[in-house]
Amino acid sequence: MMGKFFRKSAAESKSKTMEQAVVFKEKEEFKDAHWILKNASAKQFYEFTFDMEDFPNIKIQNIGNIEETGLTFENNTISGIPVTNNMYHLDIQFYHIHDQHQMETKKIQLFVNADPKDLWKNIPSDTNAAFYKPEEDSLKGSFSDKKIVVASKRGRSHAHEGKFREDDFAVNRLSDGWNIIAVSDGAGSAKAAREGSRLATETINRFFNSKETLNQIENNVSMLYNGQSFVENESESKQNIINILSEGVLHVYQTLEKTAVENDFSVNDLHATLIFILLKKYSFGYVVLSFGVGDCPINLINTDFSEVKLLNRMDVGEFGGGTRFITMKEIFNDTIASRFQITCVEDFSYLVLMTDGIYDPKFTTENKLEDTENWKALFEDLAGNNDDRAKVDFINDEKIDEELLIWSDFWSRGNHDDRTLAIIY
Amino acid sequence: MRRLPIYFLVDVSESMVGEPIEQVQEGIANIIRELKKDPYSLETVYISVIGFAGEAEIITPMQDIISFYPPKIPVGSGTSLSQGLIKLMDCIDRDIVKTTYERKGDWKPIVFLFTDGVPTDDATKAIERWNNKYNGKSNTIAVSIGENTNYKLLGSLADHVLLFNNSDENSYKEFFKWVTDSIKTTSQSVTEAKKEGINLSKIDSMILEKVDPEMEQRFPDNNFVVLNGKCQETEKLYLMKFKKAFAESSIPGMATRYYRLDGAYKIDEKAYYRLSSHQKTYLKINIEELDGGTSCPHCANPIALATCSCGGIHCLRGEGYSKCPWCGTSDYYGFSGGGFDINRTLG
Repeated sequence: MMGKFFRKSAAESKSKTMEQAVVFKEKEEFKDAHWILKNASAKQFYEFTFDMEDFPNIKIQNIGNIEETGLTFENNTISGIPVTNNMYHLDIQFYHIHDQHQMETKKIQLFVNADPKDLWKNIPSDTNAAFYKPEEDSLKGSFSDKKIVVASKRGRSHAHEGKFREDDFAVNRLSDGWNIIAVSDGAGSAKAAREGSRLATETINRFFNSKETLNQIENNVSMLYNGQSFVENESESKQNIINILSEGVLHVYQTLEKTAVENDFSVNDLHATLIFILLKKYSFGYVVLSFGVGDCPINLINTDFSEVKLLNRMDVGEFGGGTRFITMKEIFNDTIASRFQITCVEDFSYLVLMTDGIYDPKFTTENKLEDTENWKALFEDLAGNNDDRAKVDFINDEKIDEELLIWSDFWSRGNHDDRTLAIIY
Repeated sequence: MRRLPIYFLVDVSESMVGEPIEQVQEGIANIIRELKKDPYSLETVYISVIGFAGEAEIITPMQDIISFYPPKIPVGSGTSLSQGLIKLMDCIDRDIVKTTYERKGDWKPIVFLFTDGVPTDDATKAIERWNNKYNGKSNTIAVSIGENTNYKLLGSLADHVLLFNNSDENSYKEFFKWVTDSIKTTSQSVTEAKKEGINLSKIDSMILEKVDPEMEQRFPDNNFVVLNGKCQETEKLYLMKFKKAFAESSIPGMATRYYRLDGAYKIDEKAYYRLSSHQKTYLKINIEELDGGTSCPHCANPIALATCSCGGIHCLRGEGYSKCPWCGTSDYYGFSGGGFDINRTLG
């Protein structure tokens, strides 16, 4: 009798301890399991289901701290729309089905990403600072018998720190039917780059605002395209034009150098790229004289969009820092002639000048700047085919300058440089 | 868009078990939390975590900050720097996009190497390959956690060698903040000024110290003793870590070395076997040099350090008949007063 009682008791107590050990083990395994939760994004619907397949005996009662996130918990799933970005520490309160009274906690983290657009601050630049420049600028008007629209906007990376727009442009109507547009991108590392770009564009335009200079160009252009010139005269005329243009470019360099001396800083502090075109319409077509130093392109698109020509030599280094600037004396060597182009076309659909803030996101690499497909895509984008439905209307163009400014605020991950885009249409 | 790839090459040898690994784990979570708030980093930084012990493995493949979730850092036996470097080089070959005519490549990757010990294998060949093909194409920062590493060796493969020697909770926090700040400023300088190269944040000399790789260095032999135990109840593995300490001896001016218990920790078994060196080792330690006892981290048996005649270490409820979870045989266990040698791991 006694013996029987003892054995039974012993067996029972043994099975109970066994079970306790199993319960303990299963709970510990659940606690130790490392869950990788999909990251949530603020203001976007989120849903994540915990995989309980490996833990059939564990039941989740509720999740502590979940209210903070704006999510709810039901059927092993958390879902909802999280409000703000943060790293949340959630407490999973659970029990083992063979020990329902003992509540335990497993800790997990939930990351809610911010909308990247919300992270970029927009701090105004200091209006009292030397060489202050407005954060955006735009222009619309005529250019020869065509029209022109330009928008220049401070990039998010500069806005985030209250820095200045370093891009600039200048457009002028000159005498005898000549027109000029210059675009410049100040170097990020140069402390007065914003002034470098402003001064470069303004100076080159002022240089050609001279009847005498334009007359000299005019004479050579006539010799080139009147069909009477011999081959040797042709190259002489070309050389003459390039010499005049070179004088203008050298004048920009000297002006920048002088400004640096006057302000007691190095010319390197004014580092800026420079592209410009001089354009005039003749009876035989448009004559376009172009120049470029640095990595901003000038592109001419023909009337039926079947051909895109790059009108300048791009300085692109292997790495980002490999570009050249108008402030560098070494550009005035024997190869400077290759920086100029003389182009004559009967007509064209668009003539476009831009800074890398536009082509980095829209073309990715420089070699795509002569790819018609990419250009077609850009003009479709400008026509409103984009996430923001921002449209630039080239037909009803009363507000085209405002439209281009709005369009140029497009979102592109990792591309937040200053953006300047000029279109002659 | 050009990516800024960052590799964490983390020593996950057994000596890292316990607080160091927990701090690294938390540190990575904090780095991610902070980088998620920084627009430059959120959009451009990509992170990969590679662990090395006796073997190496990719703990988290290259991922952007938007989708990154902090991984569980495993431990293994051994410190094979060469395996770690080989894995890193393979990852760089596979992950990094080179600039071509058609495509904008990645920025120079940044490598943070964290180690707390001396390699248990010869890394000469791997370092040679690293220096020939990879060194100039990445920015490498080696961080020695404690003084027990070979600065000269780290200096031969990294641009910067730093010593992190003040490993309380707060200094870990400061240290990971420094790593975060360095990543942030670098991601900003590459996107904004298009400048290659790392911008290390200002170093707080209380936490981190720049070391001269040519500096004369005396190696403290064995800083840690790590024992590999198995739970009797659950048959799961755990590690017992002992830290070197000195006690005054009866002879004036002489101190006796001993190892004081740091703690017993559960480990992820599958990862432990994957990451451990497959060489057989016969390292021993005399039980008299070990001080302190603790309970089993798995089943709470009061004795975590019992040894069977097979050499296996396991937990024990108390004196009496018990079964060894290693060899499966049962025998009577009792307290032993004298010293005897037991198996230790590579550390």
